[in-house]
Order: sequence, then C-alpha cells, then structure tokens
Amino acid sequence: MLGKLMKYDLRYGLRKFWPVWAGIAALSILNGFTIRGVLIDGSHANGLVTFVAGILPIILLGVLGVTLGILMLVFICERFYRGLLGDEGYLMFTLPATSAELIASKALTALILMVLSALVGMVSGTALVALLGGSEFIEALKSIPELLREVELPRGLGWVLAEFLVLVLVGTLTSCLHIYQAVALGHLAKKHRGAWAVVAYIGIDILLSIVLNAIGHMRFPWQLLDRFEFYFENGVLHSSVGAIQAALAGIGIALLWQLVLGVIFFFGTKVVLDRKLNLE
Amino acid sequence: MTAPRRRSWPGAREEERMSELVKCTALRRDFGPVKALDGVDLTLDAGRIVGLLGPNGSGKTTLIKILNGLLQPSSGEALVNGCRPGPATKSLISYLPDRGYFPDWMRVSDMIDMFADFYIDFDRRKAEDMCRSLELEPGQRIKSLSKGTKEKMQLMLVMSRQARLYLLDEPIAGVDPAARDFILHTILTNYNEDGTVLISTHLISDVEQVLDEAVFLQKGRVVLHESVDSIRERTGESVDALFREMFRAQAWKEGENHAW
Repeated sequence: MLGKLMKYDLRYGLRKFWPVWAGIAALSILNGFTIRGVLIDGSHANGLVTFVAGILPIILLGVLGVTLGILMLVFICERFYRGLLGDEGYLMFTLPATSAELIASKALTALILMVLSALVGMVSGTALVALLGGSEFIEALKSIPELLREVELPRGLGWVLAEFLVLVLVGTLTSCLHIYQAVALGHLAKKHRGAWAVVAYIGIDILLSIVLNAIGHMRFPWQLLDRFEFYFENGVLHSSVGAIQAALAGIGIALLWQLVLGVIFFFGTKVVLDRKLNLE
Repeated sequence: MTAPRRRSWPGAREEERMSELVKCTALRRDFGPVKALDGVDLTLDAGRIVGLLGPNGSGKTTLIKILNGLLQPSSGEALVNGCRPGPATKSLISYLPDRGYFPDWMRVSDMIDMFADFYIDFDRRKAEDMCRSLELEPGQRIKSLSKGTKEKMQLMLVMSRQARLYLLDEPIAGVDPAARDFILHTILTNYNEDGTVLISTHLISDVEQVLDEAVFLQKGRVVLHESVDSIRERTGESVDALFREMFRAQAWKEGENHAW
C-alpha cells in the first residue's frame, strides 16, 4: 500500500520539480560558458552584453536555486496540509491504508525529491565548475583523499561516509516529520489551523533547544558541516583536521538524536491523525 | 422507535448477526458542548437501501464520518462487518462525501487508475463506460471540469465499486432535478445488490421511491428506524409526509423558543 501511495505522491512532486531541475541544469551549463566567455575572457565586451550574457544567467541561476528551496518547503507543507487535512483528506483517509502509511508516503516522497534536488544541484555545480576551470577542479577533488589521510578516522573511511550519509538522510526526514507534527498539532485547533501550526513548529523548536542545552551540546548535520571550515588555496582543499575529527566523533550521537526525534514526531503525528482527525 | 421486520425462523438470530453490516451501540460524538450524536443505536443489514434522513445538523454526516473512520466517537462503538473502522472496513466501503475530493492536478484517467490500484472491487470497464456517457476524455484535467461534472465523476467512481457498503452523503443536495434523476439512476443501476446503500439526505420525496428502510435522525438520536413499507402501512402516509410532520413540530417549537 505504501508503494501505491508513494506512486501518486511522487507523480505529483515530479510534475512540480522537473521544470526547476531542468532550468538549474541548463543555466549551470550556460553559465559555465558565459562566465568564461564574457566575464573572464571577454573584458572588451560592452556593458549591456556583459549584463545580458554574463551577469543575468548568474542571477537567474541564483533565483532558481532559491525557488527550488522555497518550492521544497511549500511542497512539504502543502502535501501534508492539503493532501491529508484538506478536502483531499476525504479521499486519502478512506483508502484502505493506515495513517502510518499515509504519513510515511508523504515523508519518503519529500525525502526522495530532496535527494534528487541535491543530486541535480551537485551535478549542475560540478558541471559549472568543470567548465570554468576543469583541471584546477580535478586537482582539488584529488586533494580530498590526501586531506582525509591526515585525519584519524574513528572507523574506516567508507564506514564514516556511510554514517554521514545516513545522518543527512535521517536528519532530512526528521525535519519533514517536525513540520508534519506541527501541522498535525495545528489541526487540533478549531480555527486558524495554519497559524497554530506555525506556533506549534516554533514551540517544538524552542522545546528542543531547551532539551539540547540541558543534555549538552549536540551536533546537527548542518552544524557539522559548518565546523568543517572548507577552503581552497592554490587549487588544494584545506580544512581543520581537528574540526573534522570532532565532527566525525559526533556523527553517532547526532544520528541517534535525529532517530529519536523522528520516531517521536512520526508517532506524535500518527496519534493526532488516528484519534483527533476532524476534517472540515 | 420501530425496528424493521425481522426474520423469525429457527437460527435466525445467528443469521441476523451474520447479516448485520453496520452496528452502532450507544454511539456519541461531542464537538465541545454540542452533541452531534447522542447515543445512537443502529443496526443495518446487508442488501438494503437505507435513507438516513434528518434536517441539517441532525448528525447524518457525523455518523457517516464515524463509519468511515474519518472521525472517532467520543464514546460507544461503531462496527462495520463486525470490525471497528480501519483499513479492513475501508476496503468494503464506497464513500461519497458531501464535497469534492479530487486532487486538481490529476487527469480523469489518473483517478480511474488510482481507484483501480487501491480497490480490488473496482470495475474499471464500468467506470470507463460511465466516463464515456458523461463525455469525459481520459486525458482531461480534473481542474478543467465544471463543478457538476466533477460531482458526477465522483459518483461514477464510487458506484463503479462492488462494495459491501455505500455511504452516500447528500448525493442529491444542491443539484437541479435533471441531475438528481441522473444521480439516482446511476446509484440504482450500479450498486452491488448484495451490499447496503446508506443515503443521507433531507430531500426525502426524491429518494423515497428507492428506499427499503428509513432512519430518522433528530438532534443526534435515532427517532425512527423502520421499513418504508411498514411506515406507509402503519401511518397511511408517505415517508416524506411523516418526516415533515415530525420535524415541522420540532421546527415550530424551536421557532417559538427563539421568537422575540
């Protein structure tokens, strides 16, 4: 049943996202040529040509990147709010599926779309950088294993990368479930359910901050990334070895924290849908 | 309250229990201080067309939502085919809500695919035939359809199932007489005759001819549950006339209480 539910959620999501993905990929390749052709090599071009052929594609790429982020956030909220708690809920909740399957379908679909968006971003970014300066970029990539050799890894490199990947995926899923939990709590209100959902989201966030402060400083995936302190110098990737080691040591505990939160949000949302569902 | 006629041969009790498709016991649902359902006891057998009749706010939609699992009772119990509402009962129920529930982004063919995917009792050929009779193209987007056509399509999908229980919430409310005829004709020519059809409405004269039983709901309570033939024999009136008589008295009383 979960597969069938996801089929329709994914079909809707792909309809929304593919034009943005295609736009980002196309503009990245275009920028690869125009930045080099107009901005780097074409210093004699006039101002209008520089703007239209050089600056405008960069702005458009930035706008599309922001659009993708906003679209993703709207998608997560809208598919849960309208798809389950709006009029469509009369269809979805009368299908022979459990509420757990309905929630899982929404969350896993959002995760798949986020992963696909990240892949589009990475491939497009790689293509753009490779077009701008292929050889320097390849040298920089080659320097990553050298950098990691200096780090005393708690486990094998493959294991650490797998852990990190799982942490990012679980953290992303938990972020979705956090939103669903807030929307489900907002649904308990008689009026202004959307506004109450925002209040619930902020309330949960504050509560989590208090808990985290109480039990010590834990690292979330994005905080881990901040601490890596990447920088390039002469085409070589540098980072603080100590920071990487500290971050890697925190992966396990961060993963556990995200799992616990994810389970709480999932079952919290399920309880509301099972016991307090009240479609208008 | 008069119960519909019962079978009386030996072993009838066991057979009756087996044919009980819907059983509500002391069912209550409160919305704050409002009692939408106030101790409903109701048993519906298989193979009947039942009118759930009552004025606006009498609890018809609440009862149907509870049977569908869209609402939880405050107390009491609702069973469908002996089970509490859940995935198992949802596969037996074909539900027409009092509003449109189509995802606008889908096409007509997507909705047919979806019903075929989720319900094993869905008759795709019947649905496609009905689509053709409504002049709907499979590739047409649902958001391009008129409100009336969307309603007809929703009914068409619901009635393309060979369900054990059809829960039809106000299927003829707010439509013109021609559309009313179309809706009733679609219901009568497509329902599974071994199943039960529960039609909620306050437009009794339009549905009276097709009903086997009538359930009158008033302020969240079942005030009458009787076969239509028995009502006519007992009172010498139509169901519509009896309904007006019973509920006019209530409306007058409430009017007097609120007069100023």
